[in-house]
Amino acid sequence: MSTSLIMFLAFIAVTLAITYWVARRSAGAAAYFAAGRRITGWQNGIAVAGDYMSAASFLGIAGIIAFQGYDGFMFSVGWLVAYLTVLLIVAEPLRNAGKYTMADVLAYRLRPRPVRAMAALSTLTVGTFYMIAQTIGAGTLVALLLKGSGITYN
Amino acid sequence: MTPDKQTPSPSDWDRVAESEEFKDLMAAKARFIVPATVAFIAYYFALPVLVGYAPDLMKTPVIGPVNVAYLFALSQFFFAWFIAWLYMRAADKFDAMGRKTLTQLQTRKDEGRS
Repeated sequence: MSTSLIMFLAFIAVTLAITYWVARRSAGAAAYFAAGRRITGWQNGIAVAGDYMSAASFLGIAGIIAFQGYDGFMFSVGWLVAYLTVLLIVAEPLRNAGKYTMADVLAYRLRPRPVRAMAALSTLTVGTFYMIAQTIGAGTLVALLLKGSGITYN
Repeated sequence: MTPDKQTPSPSDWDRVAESEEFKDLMAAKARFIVPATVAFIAYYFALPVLVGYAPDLMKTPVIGPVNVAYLFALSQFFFAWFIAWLYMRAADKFDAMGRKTLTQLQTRKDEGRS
């Protein structure tokens, strides 16, 4: 086994251990969605940044800049600016409503059943296309990790 | 039946909506959020528009191979951080105003009961 594969497995093990430890402690929606409202803005910022270090965005943006140059750079700026929309328009009303997801707020203000159905549908649609990019990125990474280990990926 | 302090009755919503403090809070939020949103949307769309329609300006070299286009795209990050910092400062004020609205409502309710 190569060093990178060992590091990869150790990273997954640590992540699962932390998840297990946190899942035992947390109870209720506030604890699950907002960490019990106990974390600071900086901690939350680091968490959001870590959340974005996924195959699709981290590797995807680096790759698109490598292949397309300036066009890729311009594309990445769009992702950044979208955060301002969330910050200025979505975040505060969401917190003030005491809800944690967009569907919760809309269901609270409108008729819940159709809102829930539409929210589920759009989540699944976006999620499916996002996961395609995500799994292709992850698959490429795993193939790279398994190279020379004797396990064939394809 | 005594009204519960924690769960507001519909009349509480109306009373909050009519109070001066709440109207001030809504006006203060609009005064910050509307210009900030317009500013970041204008600044962001200036990038593709200028790259598309004023390529000669954007091609102007600044430091070695780095031209105006690269610096302008990079400046978007600093602009976003700047807006976020302004919002952080403004949001503290909004929270203080929101708390004041609630205390005023409670005081008025207590006065009305006694």
